[in-house]
Amino acid sequence: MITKIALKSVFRTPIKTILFFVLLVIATAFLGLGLGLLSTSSNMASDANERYNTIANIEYIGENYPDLTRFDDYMVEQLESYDSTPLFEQDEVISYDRQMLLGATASELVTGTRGIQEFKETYILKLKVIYKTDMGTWCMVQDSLFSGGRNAALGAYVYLDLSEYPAMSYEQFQKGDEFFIHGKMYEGENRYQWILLSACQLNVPEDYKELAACPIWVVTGNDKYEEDPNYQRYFNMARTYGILNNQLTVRAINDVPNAAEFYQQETYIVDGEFFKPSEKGVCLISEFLADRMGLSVGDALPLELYGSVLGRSVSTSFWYEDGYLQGKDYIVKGIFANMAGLYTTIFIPNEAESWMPESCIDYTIGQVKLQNDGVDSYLKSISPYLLGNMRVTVYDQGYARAASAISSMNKTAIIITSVSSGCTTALLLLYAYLFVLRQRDTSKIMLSMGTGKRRTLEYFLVSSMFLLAVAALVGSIAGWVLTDKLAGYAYNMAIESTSADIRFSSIASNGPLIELADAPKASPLTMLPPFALVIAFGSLSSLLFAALAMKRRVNGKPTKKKKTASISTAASFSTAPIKVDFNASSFGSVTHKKHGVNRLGFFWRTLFRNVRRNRGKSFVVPLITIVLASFIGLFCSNLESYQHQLDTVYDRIPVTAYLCNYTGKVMDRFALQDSDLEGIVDSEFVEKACYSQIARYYLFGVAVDKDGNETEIVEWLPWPESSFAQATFQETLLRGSSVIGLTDIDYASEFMFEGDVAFEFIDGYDKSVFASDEDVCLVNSDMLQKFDIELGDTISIDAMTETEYGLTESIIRMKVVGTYPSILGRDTIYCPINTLSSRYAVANSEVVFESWHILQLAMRKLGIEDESQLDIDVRWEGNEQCYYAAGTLYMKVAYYNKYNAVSLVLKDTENLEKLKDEMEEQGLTSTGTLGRRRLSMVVNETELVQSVQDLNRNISYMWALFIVMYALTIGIGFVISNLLTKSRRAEFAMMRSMGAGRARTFFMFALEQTLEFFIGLGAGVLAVYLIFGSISLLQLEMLGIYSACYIIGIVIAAQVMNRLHVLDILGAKE
Amino acid sequence: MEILKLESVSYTYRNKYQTVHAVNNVTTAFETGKVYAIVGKSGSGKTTLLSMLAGLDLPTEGAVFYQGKATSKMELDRYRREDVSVIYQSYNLFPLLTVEENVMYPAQLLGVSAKNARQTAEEMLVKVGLQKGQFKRFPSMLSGGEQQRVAIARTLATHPKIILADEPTGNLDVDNGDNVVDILIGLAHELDYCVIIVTHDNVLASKADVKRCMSDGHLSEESD
Repeated sequence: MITKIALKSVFRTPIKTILFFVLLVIATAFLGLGLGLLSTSSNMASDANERYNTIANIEYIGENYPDLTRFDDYMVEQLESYDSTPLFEQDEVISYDRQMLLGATASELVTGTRGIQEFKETYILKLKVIYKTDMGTWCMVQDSLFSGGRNAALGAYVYLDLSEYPAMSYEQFQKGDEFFIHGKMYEGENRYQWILLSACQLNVPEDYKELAACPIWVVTGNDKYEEDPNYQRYFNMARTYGILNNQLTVRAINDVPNAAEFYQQETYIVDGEFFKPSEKGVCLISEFLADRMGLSVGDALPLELYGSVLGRSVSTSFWYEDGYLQGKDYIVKGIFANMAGLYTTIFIPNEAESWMPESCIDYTIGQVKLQNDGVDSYLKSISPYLLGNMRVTVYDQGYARAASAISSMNKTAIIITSVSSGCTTALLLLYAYLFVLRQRDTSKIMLSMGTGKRRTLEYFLVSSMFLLAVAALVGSIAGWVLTDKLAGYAYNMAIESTSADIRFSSIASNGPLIELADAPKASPLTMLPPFALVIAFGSLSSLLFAALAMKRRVNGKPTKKKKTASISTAASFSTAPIKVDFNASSFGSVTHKKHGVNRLGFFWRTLFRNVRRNRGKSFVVPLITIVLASFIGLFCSNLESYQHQLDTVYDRIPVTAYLCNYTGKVMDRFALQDSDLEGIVDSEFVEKACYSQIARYYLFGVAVDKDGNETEIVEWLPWPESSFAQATFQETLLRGSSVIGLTDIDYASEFMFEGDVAFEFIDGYDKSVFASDEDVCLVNSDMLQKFDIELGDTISIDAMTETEYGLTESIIRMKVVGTYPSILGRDTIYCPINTLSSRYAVANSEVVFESWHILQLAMRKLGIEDESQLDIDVRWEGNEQCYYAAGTLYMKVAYYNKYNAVSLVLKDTENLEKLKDEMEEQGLTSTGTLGRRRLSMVVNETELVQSVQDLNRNISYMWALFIVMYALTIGIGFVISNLLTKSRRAEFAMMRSMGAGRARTFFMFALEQTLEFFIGLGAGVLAVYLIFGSISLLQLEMLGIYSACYIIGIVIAAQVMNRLHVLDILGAKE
Repeated sequence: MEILKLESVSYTYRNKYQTVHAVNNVTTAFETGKVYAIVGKSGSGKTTLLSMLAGLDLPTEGAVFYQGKATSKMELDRYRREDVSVIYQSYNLFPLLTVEENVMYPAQLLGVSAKNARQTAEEMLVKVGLQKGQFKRFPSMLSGGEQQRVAIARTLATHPKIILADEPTGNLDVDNGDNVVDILIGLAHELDYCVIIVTHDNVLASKADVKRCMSDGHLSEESD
């Protein structure tokens, strides 16, 4: 019965019921949307965490990276004693895989042109002198110890060329003499020719160097030469050349899918499948090998495996018996697509068997699978354990981008949830007030009729909770539908807002990005939380207000009567009948003043009096307004701050770019000429191009201090006599330390990614010296001690560069003006680029055209047919004619700027898309793509893009919040005005009954509220001014809009008041 | 038959300004079948006395006995449901219930079925002079007199033994007021109700069987 009565009370106030039903549905729906989006974004974050893998590849970038056959000595020395364990034992590491690099050969496999370049066409040949003429000495190939399939050489005629070996003479070779040679053979016009290779070029191990230093072994008259140990060595060398020319690279790794090439989708399985780590005796081969060897999945591939021990590379291990590991058949498990660098690579499981070496020298230290969100902390943790030449490449498949989008959606959800929670709370309180507390008169009647507190409470709860439950249910369903529709939309919006043009971008420089799947459908369970929350809080507030409604007493709280005398003043409140004297004179006369002015003045006086006398209520509006105005001021300040940051972000965050190879890992081994860089460095988006040139150097002679005192630092090495030894010496020097000329030291590849590097300069010098013409340099601090030099000393170096005209060298004297902290551990000297590039223009410098052939090239370049037209000084040095020319001539014909690295400082970074368009037109490619120019570029825009996206997102949130706030302000204005004036309805009715028009009463109430509002607004503006020290135009604008919204609410409330029927309020029931 | 008895009943309360002794040491009794009028000026304590008789409050001193049982030891809700009914000056009808539903309410509170309660309500409404066409109307659609009659009909729905009326004619014109008084007198004399009317109207009071005066919290038999 109580339930029925309660429900009747709900349905018999349709306007109020419908209004609150709609409001509650909307509030619940938005609360459901917010919570639903939170849930969806959380699910998406989990999904992203599972879908994406983050792999960090740790490599040592050696001098000859990525050539697996040539590990420089410094690299070997560093890695021999390196403990990589800390790299794999960090908390962020999910799993790791240490790759073992092995070598192998397969019988009858000739890889041909895919073999190792240095040993291409290198032979050990047994020759016999067939005939001699004045033109030369001709030999026939008698035997070839190189079993690489060049049997066509047998019987071939070879022209004996001793020009590179003046220590030997043609007289030593008479008809019939037999000898062994090793060197390079090539097929010339109608004949084979061979040239000697230096021991350096042969890259033989130490114990073969003596043999390699003597390329010719005459065995004439030695019948037992085959028993000579030298013969065995020759045989070994021949065999090794054969192996090296056809070697296969074997990578023993368990987690092949996460190897960089597969993970970054540079290659993929075309047949078969990946092997499991637990499998043994299986392998993956390339399509090239499968085709060459006629192999399919399931076939057996017999391999002879070689491994390195520490101190040797794999290729060196072929020279030694203990480099041989074992022969084993591997079953082809899968075939992968051809990819440059992997043609002759085979993957096998890292079985960790006893025959495998424990470790190896390799560029790849290992790869780790990281927690997707643990990249930054992992890099920070391992930083102390990384060697200077180590580089960590992290590829997250785009997780960071997806996570950013999801985070963006999550923040949107938080805002919606927060705002709708606040609104719902306020609405539920208002609802409880109107549907419960305002029915306290009903509760009094019910209680007075003996309904009892329990039933009366039941009445309140049913009448309030029924509507609440239905509205909450409908709202929850609406929220679920909204979530379902909007989650995907919100995610796509976030993706679009976070997307960047990733061409050439550092964002995608480590591999292609994959997209996260679309936002999942919202589960119906998302309806539960908003429903439960609204019901719970609604019940609580209804209960609270019901308790309040039933608690109020008509009289005060009863107390026991006190014995002490107290005032019994009940009668003092009684009113005796008032005798009214209706004598007219006591009323005085009433003079009617003019209308208009009198009425207007009366209007304003009444208004101000009302404001003054409604003390308590008059404080409510200003108080609320101060809070809201301050809030708006604060918001505006944040918005302005973000806007300012966005306006200046392109100026604050520098963006650089660098040219690199297509993998993105090699950025400084180019030979780029000015012509190659046209269209790139002169782009309107390039503020500054930073060039570097490289030469090898030999430090020699004396150092001269500032007082002119000389100190011998390094002994000058004499130039070897034999040309063969000279070649070896030359090779050694060309693999020595480098002198790098730069236009800007900060952009040296050693320092570019290191942040602030602690360069130290002597007084009067700083980084700007690199833009000058001064012959100065920086050395690392170890070199000072190593070479016993001090800052301020002048040193001399012999700088050498290989050009098409041969090795050129020049002496450069430079003053040591500073030091740099050694990161790569090499004795690199840094100097201004002009010091290197202009060295041949130094007065009195001379350059040697090392042969007539080279001189001819120079003449052809100049368009000169007669060498007498050139200012050439021909001199004999030993048996050779050397052609000396002035450095200026050399600069003209032989020397041109070749840059080994180019970096760019960009400007106008708001329009990087246009720069990228230009670079595409120039034939550059993003990393991972081979283009016609085989040159890629990386734009370091990650920080800029991230900052811009974050700022844009924050600004969007702020604006969305403002819109919501303004909408709420209209409601707040209406509700507060309505509540404050509701109790004055009788007053309003009295005014109307006494002749005040609707306009008057409307403006009376509206202006009263508006006046109170502006009092509060003024105080609020003052508060903002005191907090921030100033008021900005934006703050004033926003406060203006806020004022307009609040006043709209006031106007609506006043209009509602104005529509009330006077007699309904004042009329007595008779 | 004596049905209500007050023994040294006092009621003292505190408001914002002072302590008020609304009822001071009242000892009296009320019998069935009679109409009692309690007169006094505004603020004399009449309404407070009535609230104690109605079980809406308990005396701060003394006791109110209903059929020999102190109200302080009684379940007051049941007392108000079954034994006493109050008619107010401002009618206090449920604005969202129809006339018929208002009258049904107390009966249903006692557990009477809706059908029976409706039947009783219709009888009572006819008794107090309302037309059938008015049964489905809301109180706001009736005149003051009609509303007061509905209030009377509501008090009769549960056949209480005591009817208390607080200024029942205060908002009515003379004719309607007379009608209401006649009804109340009829209830007492014909149906043996105990009717206690609180009023400041001496004319109304003169129609009662017993007139008592309330002044300064004291109750006396004679009027001032």
